[in-house]
Amino acid sequence: MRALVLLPLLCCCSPQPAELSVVNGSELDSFDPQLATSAGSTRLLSAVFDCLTAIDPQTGELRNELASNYSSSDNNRQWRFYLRPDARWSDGSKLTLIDVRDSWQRLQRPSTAAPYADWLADATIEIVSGAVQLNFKSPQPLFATYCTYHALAPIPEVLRRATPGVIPENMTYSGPYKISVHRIRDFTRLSINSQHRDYSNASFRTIDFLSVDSQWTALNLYLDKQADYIPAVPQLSVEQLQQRHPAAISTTPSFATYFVRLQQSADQPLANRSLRMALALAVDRQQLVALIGERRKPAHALVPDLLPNYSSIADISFDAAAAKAALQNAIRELGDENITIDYLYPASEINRTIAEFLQQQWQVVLGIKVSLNQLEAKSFFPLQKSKNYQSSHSTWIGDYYDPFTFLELFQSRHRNNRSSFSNADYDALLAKSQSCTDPALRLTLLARAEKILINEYAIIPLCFDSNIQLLRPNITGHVPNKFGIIEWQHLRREVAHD
Amino acid sequence: MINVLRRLGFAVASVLLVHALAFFMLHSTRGGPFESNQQFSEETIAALELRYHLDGPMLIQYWHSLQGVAALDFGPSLQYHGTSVQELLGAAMPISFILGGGALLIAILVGLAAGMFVATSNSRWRVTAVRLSGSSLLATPNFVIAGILISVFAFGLGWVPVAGHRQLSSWILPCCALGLPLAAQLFVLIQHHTQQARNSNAYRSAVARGLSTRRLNINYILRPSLTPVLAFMGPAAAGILTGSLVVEQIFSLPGLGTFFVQAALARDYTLALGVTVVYTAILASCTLVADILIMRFDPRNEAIS
Amino acid sequence: MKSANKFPRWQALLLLSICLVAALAPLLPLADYSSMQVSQQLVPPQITSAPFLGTDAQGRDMLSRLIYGARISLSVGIFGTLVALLIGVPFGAVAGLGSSRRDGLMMRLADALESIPMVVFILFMLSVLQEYRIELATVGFGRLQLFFVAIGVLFWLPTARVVRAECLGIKKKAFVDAAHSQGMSSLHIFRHHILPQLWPAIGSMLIITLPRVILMEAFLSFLGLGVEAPAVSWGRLASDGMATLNPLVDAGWLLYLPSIALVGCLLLFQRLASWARDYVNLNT
Repeated sequence: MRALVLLPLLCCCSPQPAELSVVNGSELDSFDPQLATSAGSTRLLSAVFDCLTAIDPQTGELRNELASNYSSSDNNRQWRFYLRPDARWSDGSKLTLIDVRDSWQRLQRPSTAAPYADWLADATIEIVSGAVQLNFKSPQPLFATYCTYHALAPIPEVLRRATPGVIPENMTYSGPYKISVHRIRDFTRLSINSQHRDYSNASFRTIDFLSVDSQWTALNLYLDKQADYIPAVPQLSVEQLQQRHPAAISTTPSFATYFVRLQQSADQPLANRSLRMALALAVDRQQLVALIGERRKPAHALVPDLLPNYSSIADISFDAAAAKAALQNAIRELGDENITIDYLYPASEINRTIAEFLQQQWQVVLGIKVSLNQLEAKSFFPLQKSKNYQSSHSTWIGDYYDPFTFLELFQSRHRNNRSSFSNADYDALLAKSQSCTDPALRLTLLARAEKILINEYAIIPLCFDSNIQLLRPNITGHVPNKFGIIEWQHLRREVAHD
Repeated sequence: MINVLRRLGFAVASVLLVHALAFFMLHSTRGGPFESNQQFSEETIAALELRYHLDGPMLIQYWHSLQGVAALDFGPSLQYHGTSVQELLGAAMPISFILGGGALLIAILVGLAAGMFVATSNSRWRVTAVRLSGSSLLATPNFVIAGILISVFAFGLGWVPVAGHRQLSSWILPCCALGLPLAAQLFVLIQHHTQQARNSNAYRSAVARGLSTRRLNINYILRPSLTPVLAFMGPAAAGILTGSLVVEQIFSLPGLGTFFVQAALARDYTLALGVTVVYTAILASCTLVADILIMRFDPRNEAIS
Repeated sequence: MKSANKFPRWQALLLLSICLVAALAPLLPLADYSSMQVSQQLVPPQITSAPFLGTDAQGRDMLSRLIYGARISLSVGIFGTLVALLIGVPFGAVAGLGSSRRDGLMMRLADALESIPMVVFILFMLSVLQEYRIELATVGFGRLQLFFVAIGVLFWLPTARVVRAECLGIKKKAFVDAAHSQGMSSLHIFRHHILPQLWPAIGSMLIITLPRVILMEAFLSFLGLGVEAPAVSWGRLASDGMATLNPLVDAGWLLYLPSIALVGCLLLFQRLASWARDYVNLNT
């Protein structure tokens, strides 16, 4: 009984807010870097775990983080990583090569059920002459890039051993911060990791990552001064925010694309290239972007143009006349006057808008009747993966900053190829790029492959995603960059103006 | 006594029946908890299913789940790795209790006040106004009421914060949004009784004896009208649990209600079943308690059951 | 003070004209309710010129969305209620007219079914119906019709209870025994002697259930489980309006217009329902 009376007091007398409050989307799906996949998890885990390599926010190039040096040989089949001597865990113990090797072996094990286990598939990992050495069966030119993702970060022994009763508060961490309090679906408090090499530069001793489901609630928290940073702002509010808080709002392109998958298996009408061409050319991407948010960019290819050394040579744009002509060809080839298309999409505000827009476009420009099929997410994916659709909504967020993360999806035998797209030249180019040792040549091969993908109208690119963020103007030290990387330990709050 | 035991047994049976039905319905719905834009390898999927006991025939899985329910251990959540359903429910319950308690308080206070007003007021248009407000509240969806409250009090007047649950004042709107429709239901129930009490001989003779208005209102109108309030508790509990789905989502309160929809949509079987069992248990116990109280305070009713 | 039970004439007329406008919507000169106009996003209601009731966040005309929304909301109400009655009346009749043991069993079953959380059930129904979508489509059963069934199944219990109570009362009446002793079959007795007695109860349940079905549809729309795009209902419009509620952009009409339509219609139904209830009470 007493507990019931105390509860309201407990809830209302919450602890003092931290020095910095950050909205982090929905509750994290896991604190284990090898299992977590959601955006909020990535944001938080990158603050508490250092990886071997990292992306430089300014140049977009790879640089060393926990690794002091790395090298590859035998056409990228063998990799060696050397650790910094001053690498430590938050309890003061040294971060050793054994930690790295054991973490990676745990990732490999099927019993861990890690989503990114195939990055280490067929690899033997051992410690050889002061470095961790990996031997792959096939060339892995991108392994150092994979290492920027938290799935390949070294994890502490308590987590590796799955010691029962291990909670985030008593784990050790390698990053600039460590987790000190975790309240489910409420907030996670990070405190400064005094063992980290960047410790003396850090200004904020505590940071709260708030768990908030709705973007509007997040915005309200910011306006109420309960939060200092919001990763995504609702589209409808952008105009007003631009007027009232111009110094706070900023747009970061994100490495993600919205596109339409077209099912190309032999029995489907969309196996016909002319029909795909008609659908692809009939979409006015400028209008779409105006509907779902002008800060998103119309997509002319699959890979977003974020990367420093890569430029797409593929191009696609709105052309009503050509679309109609292609439709006529399709009708002739298929021998069917009345073509109807099914469009499958997972339920959400923006997906619905896109679906209704496509329906309208294809109706108006081509006279094709489109029936929309909305499913909630967990019903949608099995249907899409079993190729049980004609056209479907799709998004892909790159796991690492390289075009291969997008292009590999459409290899003939790739697990994630849900469109039945199969092109021998495409496969050949991608295979060649994997065994290529010259980085520039590799990117050229990838660009040529992308061109084939777009010219065959295997997919219909819609737009490149972007995030609109709010950061309180009196917080300095953040260097805006294309990758959305925030180095929390370098932020500081100016007390002068508000 | 036997009656109470029988009702208790029935309550337990209905919880088990609901668990069974919910289990089979959830598992027959297409899609699993690990579906996402990623495509896992066969080994990964097999390992996940093994870890969470999702392999094997449905009946074995059901038996496993039933054992868990009996031990009040619902297992690990399927979407929040490393967190047990117990932890999640434990974190959500205080929020839902505060919300439900506050809503019930508002429902009773406002409902009784409106019922009293209608019986004691002399102004006909005021009474009509109160009646109309009650009817409108009954006809308005929960989320519309919440939206109007937010629009007027939080955005318009700025009296209360819009989001968060750290401050005391942020509970006012959610409790009102949940409690006002219930107040309307209670009002409809008791207005007959308050009016009957007003027109009764007991009231008239008390007036003739010259009692003060306050004593009249409390002893001769309020007291006799309290019986339906007890009967109202059962449906009120149900109404609070359903209504909280909407209110918790709108006001971003991390209570049980949000889990309800969200866990089912995410195919988090263990969490969905845990919430379902808790929900049914709360509902059954509220109805049981209400029934017992009714039996105790009004012996006439026992004959009817 | 109770006045004599007068038929609420103007309320019934108003309701009828709303239904008429909704039914005749395709013939009226309305803007396309589903066409998104980028240039016309979030235009406030102009009352005297187009767009009369404003546009929404995608530039769609609110007046036509409200009218087409009425079509869906009202048809969900009507057909959902019919499904509820189709299940509830036979169930209640079988329970009420049978032996007390059968009655007891059936009512326990009903009590247990009532405790199933509605969200789980709806998800399950929608998923099952999705499986057979193709087969059902050939019979003309689209997603909307499936939704009618799913929502109707949520409301059969109160009707079953009322019909059962009525039957329990009727069963005891002398004329039933008399018919039995004359050798009439049970079905014949039911159709000619019992069913006519049930019509008032069924009618009042119809009027009572309809608004609850419409409210449930609004609730499900809010949860994202309602009717599918491009179909639009008042519930969906109201929950879209909720989604645009924010401190920065004032688009109040998106929430208030569908809410007024919804609440207004339901108040009219309520008035009719209380008349029906009084009518049944006075005449039995």
